[in-house]
Amino acid sequence: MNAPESAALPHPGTATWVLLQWDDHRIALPSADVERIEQAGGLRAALPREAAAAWLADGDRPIPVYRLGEGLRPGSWSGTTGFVLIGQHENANWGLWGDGVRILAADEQPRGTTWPAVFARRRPPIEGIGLLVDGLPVMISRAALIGPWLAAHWARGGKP
Amino acid sequence: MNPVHAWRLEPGQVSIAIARNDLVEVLHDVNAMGLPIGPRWCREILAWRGRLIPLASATGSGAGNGAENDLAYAAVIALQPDPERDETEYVAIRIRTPPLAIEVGAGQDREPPADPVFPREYLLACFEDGEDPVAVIDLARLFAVNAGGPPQSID
Repeated sequence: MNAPESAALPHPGTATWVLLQWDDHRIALPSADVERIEQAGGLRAALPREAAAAWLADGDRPIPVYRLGEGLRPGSWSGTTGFVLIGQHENANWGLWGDGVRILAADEQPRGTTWPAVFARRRPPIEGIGLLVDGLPVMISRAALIGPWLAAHWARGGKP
Repeated sequence: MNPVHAWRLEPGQVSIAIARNDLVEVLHDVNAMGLPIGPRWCREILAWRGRLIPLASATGSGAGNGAENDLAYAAVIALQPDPERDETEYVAIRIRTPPLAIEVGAGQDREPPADPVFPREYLLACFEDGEDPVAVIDLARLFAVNAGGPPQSID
């Protein structure tokens, strides 16, 4: 498949991206937005009343970890395989779980980025959809979108 | 009144009609890609002529329900959300069979069926072609490319 050339990539100065994969979906963040990547083995199950699917122990400040579900809703998950991508917004860490993670080199940048309005109806924390070099679609985001979005989810009660 | 030239598309149990000039291309063996975002009728994207365009399905294909097996074609449609601006948005709809050219005359109006394939709030009109109901859908609103912005209440 030929990659579309329709639009510039958000953050054109970004040299590398972190790609998180789960099920058949992918999301890419500028590598500068990712604080670190952890293996999911350190996750602990969420307390029954907590919104996050699991917690990653981080000293005295456990990090809530979410699995993105259908409709990109933060959902519940209690597995221990895969990886957790840790980001930060306003001094609060958050984690996104995936079963695979990869660093995209400069020549692997998503191409043909677009953002059709129909996908923006529910205001997901996405600012573009592009194609990877292998022709698979990837959603493009950044920590400044995901952090407030998760915080709003938490404020609403955090139910998946 | 002169008859209106249109294409009849089969996206589901009920046909829809689009203006003859709005159909750009018909694709077979659609190589679409699923996304976890968007309303339930649009969770796929299609690489088409150097663009990524949204692909809608009245039966919600892309959700892993296998509906795409029965909807082997896609109609690529050009939308002009603002007639005063020379901008065109391209969208696509999965369909079961190749489009059928029809003419629609006065006096063919009828009540819409109970389930007009896409959500009723996007229904503009309904007419009869033979004995079949054919819905006219506000595609600009369905795909949220209208100047008024996307509705937020439905999914």
